[in-house]
Amino acid sequence: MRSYLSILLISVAFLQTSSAQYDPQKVKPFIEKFCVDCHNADKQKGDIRLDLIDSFDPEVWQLVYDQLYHQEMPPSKKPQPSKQETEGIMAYILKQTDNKEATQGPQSTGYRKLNHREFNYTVRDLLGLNDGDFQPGSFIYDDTVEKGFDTEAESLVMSSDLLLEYMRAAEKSVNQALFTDDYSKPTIKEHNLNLSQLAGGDRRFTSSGKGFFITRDGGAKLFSKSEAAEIKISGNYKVTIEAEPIDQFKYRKGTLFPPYQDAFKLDLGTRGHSSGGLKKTFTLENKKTTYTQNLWLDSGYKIYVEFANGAGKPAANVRQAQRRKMVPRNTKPILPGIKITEIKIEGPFIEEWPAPSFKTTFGRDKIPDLKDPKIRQGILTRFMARAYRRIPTKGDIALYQKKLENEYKLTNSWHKAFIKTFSSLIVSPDFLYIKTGQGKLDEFELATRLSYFFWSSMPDLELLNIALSGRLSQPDVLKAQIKRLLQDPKSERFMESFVTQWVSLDKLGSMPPDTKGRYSSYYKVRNDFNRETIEYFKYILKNDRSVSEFIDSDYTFLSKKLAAFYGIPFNSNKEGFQKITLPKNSIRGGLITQASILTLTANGVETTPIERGHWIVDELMGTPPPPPPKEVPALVPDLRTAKTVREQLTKHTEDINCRECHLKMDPAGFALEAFDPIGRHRKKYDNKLIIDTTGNFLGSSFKDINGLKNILQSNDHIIARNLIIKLAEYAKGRKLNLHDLKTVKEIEVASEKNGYKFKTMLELILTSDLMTYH
Amino acid sequence: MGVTIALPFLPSNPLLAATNADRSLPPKRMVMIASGLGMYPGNFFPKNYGNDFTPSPTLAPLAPLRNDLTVFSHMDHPGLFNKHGGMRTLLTGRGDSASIDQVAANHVGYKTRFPSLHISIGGSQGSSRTKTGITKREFTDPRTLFDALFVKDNKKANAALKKEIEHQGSVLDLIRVQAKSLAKSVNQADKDKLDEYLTAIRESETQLQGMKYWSDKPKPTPKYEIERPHSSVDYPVLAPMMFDLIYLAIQSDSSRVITAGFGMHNKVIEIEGVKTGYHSLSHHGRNPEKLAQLLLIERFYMEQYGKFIQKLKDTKVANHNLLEDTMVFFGSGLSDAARHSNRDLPIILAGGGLQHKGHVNAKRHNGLQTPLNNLYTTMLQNFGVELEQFNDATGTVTL
Repeated sequence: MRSYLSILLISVAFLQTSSAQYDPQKVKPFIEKFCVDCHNADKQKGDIRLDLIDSFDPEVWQLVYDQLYHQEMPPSKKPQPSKQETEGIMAYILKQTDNKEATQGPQSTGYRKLNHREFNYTVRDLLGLNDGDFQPGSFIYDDTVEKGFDTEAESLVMSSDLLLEYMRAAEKSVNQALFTDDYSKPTIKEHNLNLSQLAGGDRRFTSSGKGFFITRDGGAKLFSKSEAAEIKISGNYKVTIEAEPIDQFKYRKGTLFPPYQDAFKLDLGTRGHSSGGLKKTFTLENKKTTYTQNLWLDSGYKIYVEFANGAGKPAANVRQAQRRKMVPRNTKPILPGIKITEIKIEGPFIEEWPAPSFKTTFGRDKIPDLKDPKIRQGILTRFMARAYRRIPTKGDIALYQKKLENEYKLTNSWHKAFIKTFSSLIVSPDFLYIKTGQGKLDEFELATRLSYFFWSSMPDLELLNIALSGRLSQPDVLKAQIKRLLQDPKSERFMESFVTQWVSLDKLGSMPPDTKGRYSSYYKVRNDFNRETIEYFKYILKNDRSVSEFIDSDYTFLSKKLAAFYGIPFNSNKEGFQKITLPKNSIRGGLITQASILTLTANGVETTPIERGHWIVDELMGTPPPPPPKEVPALVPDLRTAKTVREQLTKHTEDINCRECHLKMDPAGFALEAFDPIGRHRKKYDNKLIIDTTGNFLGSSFKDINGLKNILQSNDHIIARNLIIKLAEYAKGRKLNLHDLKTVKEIEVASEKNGYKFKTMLELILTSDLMTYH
Repeated sequence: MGVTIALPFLPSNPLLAATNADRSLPPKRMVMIASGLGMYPGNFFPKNYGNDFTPSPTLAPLAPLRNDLTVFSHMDHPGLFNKHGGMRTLLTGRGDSASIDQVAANHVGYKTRFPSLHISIGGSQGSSRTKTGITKREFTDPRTLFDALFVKDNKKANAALKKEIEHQGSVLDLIRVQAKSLAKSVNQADKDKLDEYLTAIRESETQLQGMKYWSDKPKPTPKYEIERPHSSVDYPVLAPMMFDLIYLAIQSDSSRVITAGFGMHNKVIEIEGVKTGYHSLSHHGRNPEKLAQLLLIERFYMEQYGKFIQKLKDTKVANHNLLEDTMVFFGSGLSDAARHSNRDLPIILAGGGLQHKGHVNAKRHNGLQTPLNNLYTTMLQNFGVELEQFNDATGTVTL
């Protein structure tokens, strides 16, 4: 994280590049009257100096602009400028951005590494891989982005560990795509697993004999050790299992061991390098029965079966039963089990040949004749154009043509040579990095930015062809493409990843409550928490609703489970998530009172008004307070005293060092004290103290959460501006500078006219120079 | 366990650019152990200083080892106020540079099969980072660490690995040509990014060479019985296994730099008497019942740490013991997790042939805490790295 101090140091370096058009005398009276008292050579609050303004430093002025915009400076207890004075100086600051020389900040990099998600989607799209168990990204470690979006170029770094992982992922992926060098359509085969080769269970609780296998180990995923059980060709398969429950009521106390009185369940799943998983749970009949399931299986994977509701820790279960003298100590108790008498895999059932991955990777509808040098060159050129997201130069092609020929000499197979060549291209800098020059984007750069914005992946052929024709930057063509990309189901990737990062949904679950205590009902509904927020965001965007609905609304998206958790009637007879109209005066509606946000701003144990208040001013409003001053001891919550958190927090507003920021942050959190660490409404704390939800925010006082929402509603321009900035940063992969803020202002003004409708606002952003310039 | 393995004799290792000075001294080792959720200061810090300090409730298991270690009071990373982020910055002191173990690992390189090893039970810590800021991968199950250390790859896999390494070498050559030609015509900001990529290529080559060299050498095969834990928080099974494997890794010279520890989570750790989730306990609110359970957990850490130190001390090599070659650090990026405080961190250093001082008050004459990176500088110097300051250190610590 870059501190204000280092920004200041950089800005000193830029003092030399002053501009003739900037006239410090125009701003000095204002600065000297309102700012210099706290920001001078002797006193530098927030590590900012404003006495050195003889030349124009865009980074310092951007900070000044932001502070004035949000009326955060000068502090309320100091003399205030008039509205006219403030607007005058803000306009003058933005005017400087017309002057190219004056706004030249430090250049930001034009090389942005694909992030984890983008690598995964791009490789899949480049090779036409099915969205199955095999995921190219699973071979690569997650990016660590401390703050901001996972598209931020500065945070996306490379290392040798990572590069080696990319190489492995590339090679595996291309092999997955071009899975056979026998180019005839694979035939359907039947494979009966040898049941005595099932492994993965505790030997004390599994057994096998001729034609059967018995598992009493509920914690074990059973798979075949045999290499023959591994899928060789990706495709649709039919799995047949014959099984029967045994020994459920071995003891008089029929409920001694799981699954107790319940029906037996058998899981069917896949395992391989990673990201395999559960595919189907069968509820078993009480007699020998055959079960079948059709599913997609990727090459390199095996299937597993598991006694889903059997004893998860059988040895511990037995010990416990013995300790309680429920079974004799000296005999081996018999746990309920599942007897499997057949596991059969049939396939692959190939509908399309050549397989889509062959067609996409080779760029041909038929299997090409790789012996023909012209065809080889065509395949290579086309693949490179798609991988590089531009037209490759002759030099580009020559380099990889040589690679292809070298590999052929080593392997004597064009098929293998192409696999090696394609996998090399996937780790080349032109593939791994999205490249943009400074200034206006060229056609291919624009196509790339658009497709990574909506799809987190490479441009499709239509987009590349339009770029090739040089028409993408024409406003009507650009608009039509934006519409098309947004309508494509792949744009869900944008919606989910943007909202997840914007409101920090990714933090959810990192501090879960205790599995046993009073907040344990979290574990029943947690999977629905994220969903509500994501569905809500999608609805507002797709239906072009006002961004003020992020603050409050008379509807939300709920599942039956979540509605019950909130205590809201689920007035729908449909399954899954539904748009539900909220009762009048409901405390729900808007992002702030969704269980997801309320849980991620608590720590699973207790709530802190600071964290929740901080979420509102930082994530929702985009006005993060500076970090706390050094050497201020953190609050010590003492649950033995009869003080509420609020009373303990008064220290913050008494201390001069803390006051300025906490007066802004804490009150918003007080209103949210009416919600426990997992987002349920409450009126009292655990120690029975009544919760006081009143406060003062943005200059108005409120009684409770609905009052706070009203205040935020009447300041919806702040949320709109924050969203414009966040969307632009997500698209650009860098923080905005002063020049960009001018465009932000224009979009804000234009959006205000139609009540900040979200989709319209997004289109304005994407057709502005926030999108079309580096 | 009682299994010993002879240290492998490696005269022909081309990566071992040993100087005469190196040969005359036994190699140093560094083990960095961490707790993800701090150590409750009220139970951790002893009340008096010096070699004969009275062990605090948490440190009771270390009483017999008082002469082999130093406990520091008033030491932390000044300027860091990152709450739970303290877990990730424990070994760096800031966000954007290599962690102490990676500086040490670069110093050793592929003289050992693993330049560094990372394991943490109860979830990963993310504290070990390369200089570009990439988190090192951690094992979170001792059983997978055992496989990596001691289970022989089958012949087919080994041959495939070698072929893969060879091909990867040729890919690196190719993409280097590309990156270099791109770097010719770009501005400084772009050049920095491409340099990062070129550095990764260069370091990948070293890594491949090291992997290739070691792929020919048989792995040591100690007799060790692996137990199956109940769950990911079955610490009475997992923790001794983790420390046994670290011990075996050092004894077999498979690695000289190891980070390990106990992660952050809210599950009920399977220690007798613990009934509440770990994170919930760390937010004790000074509730005596919660503090008592927390003490059980933190004392368990110290028992395991102490047993490990004792085992190194009991292992004779030439005319000394293995503890004298091994610095065993324990610490946490949080002190009192209830306050999310990153001040006055709980820090212990044992072994390494240093002059230990029992319990030391590291408050400086100006009233401020000693930067933890001063201690790290001392440790790196002891390890044989020539450097004057690690990250933002202001000096060294005399031991």
